[in-house]
Amino acid sequence: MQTQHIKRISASVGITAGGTLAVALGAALALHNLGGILALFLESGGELDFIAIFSQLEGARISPHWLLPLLLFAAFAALLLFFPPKGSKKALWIALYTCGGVVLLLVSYTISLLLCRVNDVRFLDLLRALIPVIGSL
Amino acid sequence: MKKTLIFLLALCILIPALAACAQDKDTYASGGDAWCMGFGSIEIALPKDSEQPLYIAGYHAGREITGVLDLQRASAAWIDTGKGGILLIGIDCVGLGNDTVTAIRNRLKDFCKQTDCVSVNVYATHTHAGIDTLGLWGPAAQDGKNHAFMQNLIDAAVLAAQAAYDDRTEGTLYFGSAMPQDLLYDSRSPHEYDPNLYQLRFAPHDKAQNGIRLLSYASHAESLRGANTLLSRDFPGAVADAIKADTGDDAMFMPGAVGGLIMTRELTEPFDAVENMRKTAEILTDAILSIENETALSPTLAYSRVDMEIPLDNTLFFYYKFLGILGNEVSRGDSMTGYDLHSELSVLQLGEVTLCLMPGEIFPELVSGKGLGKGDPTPLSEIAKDRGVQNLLIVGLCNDELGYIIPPSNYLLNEKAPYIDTATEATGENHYEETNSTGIATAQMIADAFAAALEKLG
Repeated sequence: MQTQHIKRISASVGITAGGTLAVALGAALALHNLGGILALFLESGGELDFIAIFSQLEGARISPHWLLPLLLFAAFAALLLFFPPKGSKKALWIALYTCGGVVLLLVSYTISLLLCRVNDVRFLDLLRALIPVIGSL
Repeated sequence: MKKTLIFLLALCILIPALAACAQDKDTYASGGDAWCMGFGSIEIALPKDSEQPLYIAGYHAGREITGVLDLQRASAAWIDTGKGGILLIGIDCVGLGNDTVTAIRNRLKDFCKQTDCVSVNVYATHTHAGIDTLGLWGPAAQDGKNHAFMQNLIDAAVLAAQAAYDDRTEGTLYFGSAMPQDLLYDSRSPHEYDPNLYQLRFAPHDKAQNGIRLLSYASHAESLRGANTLLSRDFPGAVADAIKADTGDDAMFMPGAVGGLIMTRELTEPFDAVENMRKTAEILTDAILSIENETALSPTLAYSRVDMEIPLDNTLFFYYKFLGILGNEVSRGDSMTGYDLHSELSVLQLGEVTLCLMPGEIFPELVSGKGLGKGDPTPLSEIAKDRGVQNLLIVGLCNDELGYIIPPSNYLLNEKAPYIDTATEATGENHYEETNSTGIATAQMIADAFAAALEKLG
């Protein structure tokens, strides 16, 4: 019984730490390689060479946001810990938890990406400032 | 246990206090029997085998230098009255961000401890024929700085500072002025500018030593104009060379209130860039050598510094900060972008002359008060006068480059693309300067900081 508890607690800690680490590092890596990602969709050159512009982020000081993803993953892990899939509808619960996990991963990744600080500026703040300009142009 | 806790508590209080003491002093005053000054000047070498291009700064984006008229220099003046000294470093370049100034200060930390240097202040002469030192003249939205050149610039500033300290000697400091005839023009109304050229001339007691001249003139250093792609210090360098040749004195050029946009006239027809620079320098040199109204300054020195958080409204500057092109520190604030830019303003009193070390290109009307309108801050000359300042000189682009500092009553933004496209008045007047400014609130912040810096001096 005790071994079962330890296993569940370890799994919860693993989900919390692993999930947080994955989304925070993933967001930081995406911004770091934004130029390379854009190169998959755009061609280099022109007056505004977006690939060259965002390739400058390779040398940027990037601080990933981890607090909100940590809280979200901790809440998900607590659900798993206290309400593990069991009983006659175990398969349904597993499917629900899997879907919830995927959604959580996407949501926390988006949060981490938007709240990531690049050269002391939050990515979300940059988008906020950029949107009206793009609209007016 | 109790003793350990008290010990830890004491450490917590003492360590930050000691760290604060180790930083630059933000106020200082001293007086002695004589002035003590020294001068150093070092050429800024062009990087060899650098993969990054060398873009010319000031006019068009993405243009590389094609040759060299004269290399940019870092010149330094050491000033003291027998105790702690002040360093004034002038770099022949378009402007320097606060991050570059901090890098120079960090390199001089040990030097400052050894020499009792109270404060290091770095300004740009604002030559528009130098290599991009702000990063704004590369291809669109790409950093135009050459990092090897920036390193050479910092090295040269450090060497010039050390040379200035080694060169120091006692003497008398004189203040005087002259008015070069019909040389300046203002491209934006109200057409207000200071036509005078001011000189702080240090005459060593030891006649075998060279004199030092700090020259203040409110003009953009762009007599070579926008088509030029040859590297040069422009007329500030030519004037310093001419003064050296004529008198043996070393000279440093300090830009005054150059905003909005004060520059020298074209003196050749048809226009010849190099000849125009030569003629401009000749007129200025003649004016300097004609100065007869000199008065000796009493050997008292005072310095104060005020840190500011400037609201960053300019979205373009904000993108540049995100991309790492601008290196100023930022913090969350109440501006259009949601961020404030960290900057600083200092005041340096040399006897009866007060230098305002201005972190940008201030419009002259914000200094003189002529042509100001509703909602504009109290002019700096009035703030200075209220506090007993006799002679106020502006040293523009010092310790930072916030761009143009514009009176709020004359601030007009393009409605569709503010800070990206320029606005045009019904009269046809262009408001280009706003696109190179941090925001409408900067002028008031500067006036407040100047008043606070003078208050600190007591």
